[in-house]
Amino acid sequence: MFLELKNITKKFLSITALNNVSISFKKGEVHAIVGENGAGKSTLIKIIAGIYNADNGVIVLDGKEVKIPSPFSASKLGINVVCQEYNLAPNLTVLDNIILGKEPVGKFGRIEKNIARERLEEIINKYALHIDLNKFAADLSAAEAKIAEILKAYISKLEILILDEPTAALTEDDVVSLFRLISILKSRGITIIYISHRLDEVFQICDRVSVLKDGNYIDTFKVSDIDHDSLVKLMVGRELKKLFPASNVEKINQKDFVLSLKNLTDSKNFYDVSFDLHEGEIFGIGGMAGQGQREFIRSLFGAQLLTGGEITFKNNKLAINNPKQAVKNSFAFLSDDRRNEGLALTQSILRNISYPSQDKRANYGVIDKQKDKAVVSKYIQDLSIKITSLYQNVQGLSGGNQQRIVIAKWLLVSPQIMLFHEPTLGIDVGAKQDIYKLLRLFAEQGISIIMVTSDMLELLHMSDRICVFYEGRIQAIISNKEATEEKIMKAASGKSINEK
Amino acid sequence: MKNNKFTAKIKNYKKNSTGTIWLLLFAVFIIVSITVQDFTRPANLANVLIQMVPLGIVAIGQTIVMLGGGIDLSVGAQISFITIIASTFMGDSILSIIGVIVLCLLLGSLFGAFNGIILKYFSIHPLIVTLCSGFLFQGLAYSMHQTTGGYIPSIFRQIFTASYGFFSVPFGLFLMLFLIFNYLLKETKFGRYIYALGGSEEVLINVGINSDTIRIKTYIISGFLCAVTGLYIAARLRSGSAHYGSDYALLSIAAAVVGGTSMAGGLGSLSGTFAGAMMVSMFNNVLNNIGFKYNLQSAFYKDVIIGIILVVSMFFYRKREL
Repeated sequence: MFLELKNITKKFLSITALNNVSISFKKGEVHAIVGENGAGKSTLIKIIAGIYNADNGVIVLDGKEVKIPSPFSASKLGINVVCQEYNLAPNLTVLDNIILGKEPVGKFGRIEKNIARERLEEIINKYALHIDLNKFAADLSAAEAKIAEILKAYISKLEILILDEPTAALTEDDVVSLFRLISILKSRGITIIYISHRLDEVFQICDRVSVLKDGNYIDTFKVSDIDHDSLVKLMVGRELKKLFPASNVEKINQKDFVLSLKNLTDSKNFYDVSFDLHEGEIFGIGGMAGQGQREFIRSLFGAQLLTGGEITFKNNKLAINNPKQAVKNSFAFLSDDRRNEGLALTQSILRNISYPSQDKRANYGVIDKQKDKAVVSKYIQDLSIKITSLYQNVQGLSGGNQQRIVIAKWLLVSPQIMLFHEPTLGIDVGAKQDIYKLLRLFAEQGISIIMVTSDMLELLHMSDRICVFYEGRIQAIISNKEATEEKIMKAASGKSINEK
Repeated sequence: MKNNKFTAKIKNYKKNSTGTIWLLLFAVFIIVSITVQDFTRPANLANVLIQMVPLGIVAIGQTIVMLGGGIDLSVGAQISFITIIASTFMGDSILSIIGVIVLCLLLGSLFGAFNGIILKYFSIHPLIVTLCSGFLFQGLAYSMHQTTGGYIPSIFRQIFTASYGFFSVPFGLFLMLFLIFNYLLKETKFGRYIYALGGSEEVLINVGINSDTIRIKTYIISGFLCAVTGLYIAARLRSGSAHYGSDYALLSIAAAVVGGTSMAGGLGSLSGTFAGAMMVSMFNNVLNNIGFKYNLQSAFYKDVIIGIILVVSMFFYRKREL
């Protein structure tokens, strides 16, 4: 074994994040670590990467016990981590970022950029990577940033590469090139520790997989020895089929249309979008990344401007030019960028939930705090949000709880149309199920939902109708009964769904 | 993690737009040359260059501090203090002049180090730290000298303010400092690390660089350049005063920001600051030329006009980034 973690324990105050965990990694393998949020994956890799120090236990690297007190000492040992968060200086070029701290220096302290550039270009050409060394890191796409970070690790000593949710923000094409890079690294004997929510990726590129649950080590398998459903079962103790609540499509189809869209366009990203929405229907929108779905759902809420088309809501024509008008017409919007657009991160749970509807509980602009607290508490209970106090900051909450707080805030304005953009982005499997139940519950209560998602299973199993965008236009609208993954993929690549 | 702040900020990052400010400066120069009588007289143009020197030198230091993600509000008080030290201790002998120059440069560097070390050990926002240390330096200055005065030997003044046509010692000094620090920022490791510090301190720490040391050094540079400016002002005005530096904190920040340096750090260049300082100095000169210097009331109007012009020029080419 190349890297061994023995009896690692880590506590944060009274909470045990990792309890006596022992995992071994072989040289040159791709080893996945899976588990729900809060299972301890992040804590574990942060200990290996020197961001946290373990309370107990030892790390053995190549037969020798090592101490890893800081990320820098980890990288000196050849352990590098590519986090979910951006870890490049945004104001420096890719080249400067990659050689930061290792600049070759010539006369008069001048950095010999050309030497570094030649060396890097050699590697880039050899492996046919898509990255421009002269770009500023801030201008990189998520995929390019990952490649830059991996290159940065590669040119220093690299023995173990930890990838934490590397595909979270990548398009399908980017994922393919990332996987290619991973297999190149693997063939050069580099050990890769791979963390991902997307289990199909684990089966696609990993050799072995270890499961963590509630801070405990469960087991390690060869991926060929285990299937998707049993892996999920180990992680959460539930099967996948039970993840999605059932809906009664016939009943929904008998209901009236509440919202009717005609030829909506922003003249740039999407064109001629027309469909009618039933009361209590969940209308799912999918497609490859960047086909106009994002701009479309944002325009419906007035977060971006429409340039043409008609919105009819309950037989009234609506003009939605800004979010304020949308809210007034009882639209609610849950952004995919929850941390920036959904929540005021530094504010309390109480305030976050109260904001959009607080006028209702105010007399002459003074908020009735008792009433405010009572109403908010009720919704927190209804949605079973786990909190320690109403005055707790939302920043530290898990993704699932944060999303429920955003949902609670909108429920307080009694919405009739809810727009969900990536409803379960960054949310673990167990919490996903709860969000799905809530969506279905709202639909049954008569709220109509438009959901833009890049999660195929979610699109397939949660939607009453599925709409696929391609190059800014609706390529197909498929009913729940007829929809298959194959048909959706066909439409998403611009083909007719009946084409053979 | 700390980087969450960046996801929003990243969107606003743009390439350094030094070209824009030079273009703007050139345009303003043309307009002023046509509209303002006597502006293009060689003597006046040489004057504009000399007038920008003290601001230009302080602004170099300010820019370096700002690129590292900091800010130095104490520069004004530091300059004042140095003018007082120089005018109090300088005698007529060459030895005394050189000794006092060395003393002032050391003292300035020490003030900078003081700022940087306070920042390291108390982790308070640089705005607060340098505001407070500014009060401290200002107080020290007052305690030594309540009025304008002191003695500066004439040989010191003559050397420091000598000029031959377009060439002048002060502008030459500025140009030399500009070239040295521009090289430092653009070509050396230290320069890269200052930018990285302003862009993302965590990234810098994670590659094994001591970011505190880099930050302290930027403040030392700023302090050192304040001392140079203080010496020059003392020489030009042949006296020292606790007021002499008062304008420079805000003007140096203005010159840097007009020149394209980001208040958030990590973006900007000395060349931009050069143009920014030039712009401020040019407006000053023009307003003086068209008669804003004769009485107290119009001097106040001059500040108002400079303020407006600065805001407009910042808006003109920075609107995308803000």
